[in-house]
Amino acid sequence: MSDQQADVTQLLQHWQGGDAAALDRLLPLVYDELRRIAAHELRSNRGHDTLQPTALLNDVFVRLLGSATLDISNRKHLFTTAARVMRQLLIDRARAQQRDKRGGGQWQRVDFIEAMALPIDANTQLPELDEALTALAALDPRMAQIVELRYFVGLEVSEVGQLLGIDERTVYRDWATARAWLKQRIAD
Amino acid sequence: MSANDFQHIKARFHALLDLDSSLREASLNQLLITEPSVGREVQRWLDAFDDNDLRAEADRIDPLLGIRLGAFVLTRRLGAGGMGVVYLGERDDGEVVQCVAIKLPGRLALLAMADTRIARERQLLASVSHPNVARLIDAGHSAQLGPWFAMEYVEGESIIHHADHARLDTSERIDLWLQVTDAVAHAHSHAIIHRDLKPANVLVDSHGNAKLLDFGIAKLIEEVAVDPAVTSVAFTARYASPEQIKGGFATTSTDVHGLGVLLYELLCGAPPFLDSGDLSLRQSIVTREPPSLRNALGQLADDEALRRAEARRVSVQHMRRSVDADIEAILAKALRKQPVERYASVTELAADVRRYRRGAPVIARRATLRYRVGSFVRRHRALTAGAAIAVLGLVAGLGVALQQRAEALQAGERASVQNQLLVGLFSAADPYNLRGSSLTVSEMLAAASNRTIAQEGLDPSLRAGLLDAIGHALFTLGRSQEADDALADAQASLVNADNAPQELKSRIALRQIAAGYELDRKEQALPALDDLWPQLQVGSLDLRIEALESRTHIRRAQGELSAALIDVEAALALCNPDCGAGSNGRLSLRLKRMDLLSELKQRDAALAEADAIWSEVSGLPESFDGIRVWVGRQRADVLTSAGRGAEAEKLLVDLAPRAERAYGSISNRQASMHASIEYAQRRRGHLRAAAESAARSAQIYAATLPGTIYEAFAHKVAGDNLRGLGDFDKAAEAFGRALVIYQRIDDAQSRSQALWCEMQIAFARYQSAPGADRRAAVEAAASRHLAVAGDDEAYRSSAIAVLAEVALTSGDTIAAHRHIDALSTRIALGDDTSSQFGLGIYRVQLAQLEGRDGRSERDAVESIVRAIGDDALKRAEWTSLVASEAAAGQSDVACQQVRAAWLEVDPLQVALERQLSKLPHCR
Repeated sequence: MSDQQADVTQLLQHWQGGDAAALDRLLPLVYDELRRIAAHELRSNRGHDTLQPTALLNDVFVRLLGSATLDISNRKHLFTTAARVMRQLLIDRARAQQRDKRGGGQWQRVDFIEAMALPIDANTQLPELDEALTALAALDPRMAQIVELRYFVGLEVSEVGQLLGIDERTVYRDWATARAWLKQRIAD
Repeated sequence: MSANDFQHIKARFHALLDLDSSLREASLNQLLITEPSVGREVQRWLDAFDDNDLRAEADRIDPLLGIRLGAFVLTRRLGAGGMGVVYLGERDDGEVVQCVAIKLPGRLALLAMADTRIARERQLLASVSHPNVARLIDAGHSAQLGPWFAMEYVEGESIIHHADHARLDTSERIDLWLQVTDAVAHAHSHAIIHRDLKPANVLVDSHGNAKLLDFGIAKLIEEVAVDPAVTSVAFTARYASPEQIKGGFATTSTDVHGLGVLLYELLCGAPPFLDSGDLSLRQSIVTREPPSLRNALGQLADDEALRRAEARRVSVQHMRRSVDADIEAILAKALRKQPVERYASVTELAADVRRYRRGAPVIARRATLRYRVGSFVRRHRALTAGAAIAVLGLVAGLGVALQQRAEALQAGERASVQNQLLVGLFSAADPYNLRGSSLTVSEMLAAASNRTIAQEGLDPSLRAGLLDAIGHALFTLGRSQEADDALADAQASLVNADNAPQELKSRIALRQIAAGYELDRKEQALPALDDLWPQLQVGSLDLRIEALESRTHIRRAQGELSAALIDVEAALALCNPDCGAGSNGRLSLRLKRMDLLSELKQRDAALAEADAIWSEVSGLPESFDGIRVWVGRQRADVLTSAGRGAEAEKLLVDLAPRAERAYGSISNRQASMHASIEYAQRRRGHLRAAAESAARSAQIYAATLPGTIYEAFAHKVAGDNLRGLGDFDKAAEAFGRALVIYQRIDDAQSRSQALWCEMQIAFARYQSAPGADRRAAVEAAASRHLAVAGDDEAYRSSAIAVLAEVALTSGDTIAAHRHIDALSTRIALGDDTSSQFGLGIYRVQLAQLEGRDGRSERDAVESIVRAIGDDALKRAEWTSLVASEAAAGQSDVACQQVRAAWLEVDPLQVALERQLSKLPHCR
């Protein structure tokens, strides 16, 4: 077992044991793995429509954990935290790219978003989105959460509804409203 | 912008979204006029709004559409569940178009081994072939997407929507439900448990056929405990069984529960529990009894009730009225928290529902009785007898305490159910209706026991449960022999019960030990309890607590107070610490501990416990006044024995109005409350007040339990007080009233009581006007009483005291010597200060009679008086005695003291007059 696998296993155990902070440390490790898979898929399999992000997450966990399983009741926590961590990762990377005008490097933001089939418009400025999303969270936390889950984990409306325990129609309305609000806010 | 403003704008914006896009502009213009600033913000949102965001993205961006799996092309996404996603697949072989539903691993199935699950479901489905189960058509494995299978595509809506849209009446709804039941029974016969029965998984097609879908989390019966991953999976909480929520193993009984919820929702319009209120949905499912249909329908708002009634083609009144006890019982049995208490199989459940529909008696009704008795006795072991006593109207000793516990229940809905049950169980006529009849409560119980034994066709387990309840009630009434008989019958009934729960067996065994201790099995009791102890480790905590309570009782009876204290502490440690003061079991244990501490003379600890319990119950709402009064009475006892009688008396008098509110003014409990007050007043020597309390108590009993030992006892107590006051004629009358009742009851105990009353009457007459004839009458009555009093020390002593007093007032020093000596040997140098005081007074009087100095006798009484605290009567008697000695009462100070002392005893001065008449110079 590699060091990283050992870390992940331990962190998972902590998290399942009730240590919520362990997930924060766990997910960057998972996303590292995700990036490797996505990069590989993109190189070897250009033209494949999507890499389903949740399936990816699943693969990564199964690979890291062997046959161990997660308590399913932790799922909501996993996804909401994953969305938050992913958001942070992408924003950090975008800021780093803005500083380093040569851009790109080993990892193209757009590639990842595309690979994960995240419904973020290609020309979205992530730092501005981040700021607008923080403002939205202050006004309507659930709306912001829906956007996070859609944008940064790539969940569908029905999946968000299941996860948050609200009906699809509500998710659609909140989602559409949030999109409109974010757009007019960023346009300002 | 504040969050409130935002929500307001959002509401306006959503209202616009609900409109057709062509109407939005007009509506927005309206808004711009009425709320300009809000309107402008909404307009900005609307400009940025993309209508596509409102549409299912599956229709737009789903990459799987058009993909070919086997012979099918995915054409539309139908939905996603916890374990998979379902697409509409079409096979087009040029001739016919066949539509199927294709299930793939879902994206949300993270870490739940979705692939394996899809493969499993396919396997399970392949083994089920039933007209009401969507059948398997094809299956395969895609390199990209994993395993998939195609099943019959049911074009329809969920069973609940169908029933409402088609406006099915109750009978038609049940028909539909029976189809589902058949499908589930079929699956069970193939060793498959569905585990996720809910409306969304039962579709009804255009022909009205119900089709069961989604065996996604189904499992094979033999898989239990082999693969934990199989048992711990996603389910829909609203439709889940308690065992699923608690993470226990699902069995076929889980599907019985699921079908119960489905039937409930079909009949009621909503499942038993929704996620609202004070408890979370999950907690409710695990801990709460499902609301009855009647209540659920009764509490609907008018418009909702109308909607549901219309969906059933009936009026609201009819919908509510048509719910009967049979269907409630069926649902209750299907929805039990404990799987073993539900129907044993889906087939049995279906059979009972069919019975219900053709109007035949349903077995659930019988089972409900057993369940109620069983769970009642199990969960409220201590309350069983209490409730029985409340029903039967008993008030005495332990009965009083138990009765109070039953009152706590009355706050809850359970109480009325249980009382009804017990009334039915004992089939007694109005229990207060004992007028003059010789039928005693225990005879009624014994009769109930005989009926239970004789009743034919009764399930042996149920019979054993009933006999156990009766036995326990008899036991708490002190009828140990009858209790033991009933428990032995319960034990015998268990031999024929192959389905009897272990807990019932243990409970009966436990109670046989307790009853045996009161009979001829004293020695065996403690070892037997120790032997039984390991068996109690598996069952309910209540049994262990009951066992420890029994040990406490036995140890206490054996005088091992410290050991008893340890046992009661152990029982308390087992009690759920979350139980508040309103929890009866815990409260009664704490009161026992308090008693023990008091008996162990750890007065400070006892008082501290009494105060702690008191402050705990003081915080309870008014509806707990019954409990407050109960605790208050016991606290008063502790206060009294700690020499704080004044506080005790005040406490009880303060509680009296509460007691009256809680009990009603004409009730046995109120009568016994007056008896408690009387006792406290008498202990304080406030005889006038005590006499009034006794009279009130007697008056109430004369209305509620006329002609019973309770009424007689109250008259007797009144007589005692009146004699203390020196009102001998009235005292004789009161004893006479008691005597008449005892003579009429005419059992062994009452005969002895009657002789005691005759003695007291003769004595009162003698005191009223002493004379040789009357003295002879007293002596004759006393010896008759002594002849039957047997070993009862208290009664023997009271007879000898009467003889001593008569001898003293007659100046018969020889007889007085003899009786006082006899009394001395009976009254050991113990704690009973009252007896010590009485004896001391006799000795002083004897010394006076014999013209002795009597200094040591006076000193002895003096020290008792100092130790007695605030007993006004004893102080007054002592003051009078001293005054009469003091130079034939020529001291004014002595006269003042006598006057003051007796005024406290009797503000109406009857006693004072009498005392002063003995001291003529004090006038």
